[in-house]
Amino acid sequence: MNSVAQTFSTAALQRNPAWAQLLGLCPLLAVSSTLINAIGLALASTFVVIGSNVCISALRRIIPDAARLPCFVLIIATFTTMTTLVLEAFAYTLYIKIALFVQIIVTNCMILGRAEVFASKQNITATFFDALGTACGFTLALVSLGVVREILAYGTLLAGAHTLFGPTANNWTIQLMDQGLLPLAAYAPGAFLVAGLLFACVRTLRSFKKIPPPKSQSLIQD
Amino acid sequence: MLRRALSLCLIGGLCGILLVGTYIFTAEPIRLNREANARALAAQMLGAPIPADINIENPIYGSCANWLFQHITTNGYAGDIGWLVLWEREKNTMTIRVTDHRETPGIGDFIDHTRDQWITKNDGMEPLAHANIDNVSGATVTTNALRAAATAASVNFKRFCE
Repeated sequence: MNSVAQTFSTAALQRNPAWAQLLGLCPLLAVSSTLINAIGLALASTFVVIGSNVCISALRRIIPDAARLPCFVLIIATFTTMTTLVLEAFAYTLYIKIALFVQIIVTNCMILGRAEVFASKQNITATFFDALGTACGFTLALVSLGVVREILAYGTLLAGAHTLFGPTANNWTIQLMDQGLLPLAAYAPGAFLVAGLLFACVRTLRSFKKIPPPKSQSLIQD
Repeated sequence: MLRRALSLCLIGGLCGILLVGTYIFTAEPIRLNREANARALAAQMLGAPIPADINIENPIYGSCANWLFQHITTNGYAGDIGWLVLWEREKNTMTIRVTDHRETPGIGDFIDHTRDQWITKNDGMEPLAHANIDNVSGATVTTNALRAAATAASVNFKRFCE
């Protein structure tokens, strides 16, 4: 049980794919303009990382070593396409907003990295918890960036929740201010600024708590 | 060698089964979503709901006596651009919206009414005015695509109603 918890916490916190390893930054910066967009991408990424890594772990004995990377990409692409279809079918409005970035989940180094380093060498249970931890870590990064950017840019939280949670979420929007303090936060330059400040906060916290940074070659040394 | 080939076939087959299963499960909701979205866009352009008995997937639909819609595709800077063109006969006006494009964000996507109001400012102009619209600086190919769509739509509407 301890090893499961350790696998999870290491993947989610110590080796957080975004804040510690700086992986998956393209969708992280592009989609986190609002919290709901961020949650949408986080759910999609979670499904892909868990589904593909568990599938790779289950098939690890029959995946030819020489062709393992094409096989990994094929499996990840399959789960990404499934996610895209399900989003288009059941969350169409959200799909219109974030479709491009859901489709490029297939190229996310975070997912391929865990497949190569962990899923292809470990059993299904350990892989599941590692993938769950990785997904939670990415979700944590997306949600934190989404919250800060939405408040700064629009002065709201959970705007457009109905696009993800249906008509019951029509009144979920929390209006914190009449207008955002920093409208730039809604755009790409603002995303870089806010993400940079959050990176700095995370690094400060790490040094304060004396958490060692991830090894620079952790992706290939596990 | 044979074992590796069989392994690859098995992995490919499993992925194929997953995709086909998901496609079958989601095909109908996706079709309904796309149709509802297209109907909403057409209704917003016309200012009135589109009658349910009209098949909006036809290349040209509506009535020559009142109004006609046309789906048209022209070449943009980053691939095909899909347009929906409305012609209102009585006023002889044309309204144009983009249904599908891959133009560069921030440069060529001004034609997308969900991102920029540029195209809505041209609503209600005569077909000839759409076909001769001024270039937008930095997006010549995209503007050419709009002019080509307006020109082709005018020709097709006339042919359809003759």
